[in-house]
Amino acid sequence: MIEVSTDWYLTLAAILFSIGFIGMMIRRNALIMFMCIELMLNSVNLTFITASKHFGTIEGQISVFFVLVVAAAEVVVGLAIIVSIFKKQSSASVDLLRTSRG
Amino acid sequence: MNTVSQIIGLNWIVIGPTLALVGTALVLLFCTITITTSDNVKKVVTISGIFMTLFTIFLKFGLFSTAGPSSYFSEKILLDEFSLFGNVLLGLVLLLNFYPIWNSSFELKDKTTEAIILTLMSTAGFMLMVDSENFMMLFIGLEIGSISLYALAGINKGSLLSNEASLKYFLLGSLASCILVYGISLMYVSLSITGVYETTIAISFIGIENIPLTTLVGILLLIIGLLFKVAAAPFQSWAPDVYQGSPTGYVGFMAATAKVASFVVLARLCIVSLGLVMDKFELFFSAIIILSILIGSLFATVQTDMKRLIAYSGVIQSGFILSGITSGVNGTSASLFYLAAYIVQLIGIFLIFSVITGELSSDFSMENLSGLFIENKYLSICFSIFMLGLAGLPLTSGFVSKFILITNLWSYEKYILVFALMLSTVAGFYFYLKPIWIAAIDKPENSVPPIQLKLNDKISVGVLAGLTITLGLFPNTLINISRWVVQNYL
Repeated sequence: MIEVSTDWYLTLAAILFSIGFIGMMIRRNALIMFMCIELMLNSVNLTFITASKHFGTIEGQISVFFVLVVAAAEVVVGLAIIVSIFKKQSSASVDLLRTSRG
Repeated sequence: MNTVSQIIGLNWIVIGPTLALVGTALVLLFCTITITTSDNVKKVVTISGIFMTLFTIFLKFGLFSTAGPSSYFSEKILLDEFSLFGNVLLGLVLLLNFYPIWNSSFELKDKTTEAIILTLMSTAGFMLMVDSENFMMLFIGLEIGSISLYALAGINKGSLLSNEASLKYFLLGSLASCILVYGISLMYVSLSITGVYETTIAISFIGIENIPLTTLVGILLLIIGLLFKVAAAPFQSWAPDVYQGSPTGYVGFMAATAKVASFVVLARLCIVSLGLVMDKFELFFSAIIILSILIGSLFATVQTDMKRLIAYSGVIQSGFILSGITSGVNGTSASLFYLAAYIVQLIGIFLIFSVITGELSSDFSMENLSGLFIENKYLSICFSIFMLGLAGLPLTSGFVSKFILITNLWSYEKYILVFALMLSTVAGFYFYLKPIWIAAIDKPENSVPPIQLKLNDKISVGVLAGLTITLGLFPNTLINISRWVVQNYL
């Protein structure tokens, strides 16, 4: 029986963050990029929770609430922006957005 | 009850500016939703809100003179010289930008109040950010400010460029926020650090050689998040597109607030928290500064769009400011002077652009400037003052700020940086003088509509140009202020 220690959670969070970051870099769909941002914020939450449990302090758990609220606010604004672009060119691919190049 | 509020340090004056701005925004929201009020009433409400904010900043000075540097709300909010400096600058940015913001919002017809509320909220967020002692507070302030700016970039829904700018700003800005907050979480994981002063205590307690790698990575990610916001290379890719696409009337405000808040926080971080471990980051910072100057100069020379040119010039200026902040206490005071002088020129230039092509337009190609000297001498002279200020010609604030910064770097024996900065200043004369040449000499090919210069725009441009000249001729007051900000950390 392997004991799941703090390091495991931190490693998982780091892997999730990397997946989100790589996804941001290589995917071209605005919605997928948006999901990657959410994934990265949630990996931050996992890190905070783990640290909070490890140290027995409360700051980490409170931070998670704030990160969640910020993520929700970002969802609202981000989806509104994506919808308003989608109305114009009926695609959410960021490759089509090359009007401003120079 | 009284004792509890004393223990956690409840003090409404400390967050007064934020409360005043949020309060004004809520009153405006109420005016729009429930009772239909005329635009003049809204204007009076907004102006009184801004002056109320400046008054509460004045009250904070009063509190600071009796209490000194202190923290409130159980060590979440900090009252020190940096926060006062940041508050004053942000308040002035809002005040100087009032007419561009108001005129652009007025053009939006049915969305007038939305845009005003977004600007007020964004300033409130950034004020919270410069006041923050706790890193989570920093993150929340940054997000309140940035999310409002994402929406502001896309406020002109009819234009695809505006939408595009908004989406790019949103995606890359959120990425920066994620990196920043992951850095905060790593610092918390490794040494249970949650705040600016806790970092100092933890580092000095554990010893410089025993600092875990996780903490250093966390600090690095936090700094990278902030560098994203000030558009230092190689994190500058969003800036030109966002500046070009966003409605011109708002760009001066957007660029100035984010830069002021991030640089003040960065300065506090480098001086207060990282004083002991700055050596470990020296190579990183030098690379960032050299890259910013190089990439900014190279790309600025080939731009045909003026807004993109100013964005790349912003990348160079970020490199300049960063070089002072990372070199030491005296360098930081030079950088704060530089920051204040730079945002005046930045706001002025975007104000002139918005006057020439209309507040909600996105593009501003260099041909729009041709014939400006014949068309409107006043505007073209003010435009030249701002451009020469950015280039760093004597008699303008740009020269004084560059001079102080470079002499400080020389005294720190950073000769390579001094060489790079001097080279970029020389290269800068090419792309800063080219638009002036076009404005003064070139004849427009096809007839352009005459410029409608409103009285309030005339006054705003005049005040900003006057400030640029005044700071160049009599810089002593601002130099003393920027010295006062850092004097406790010498």
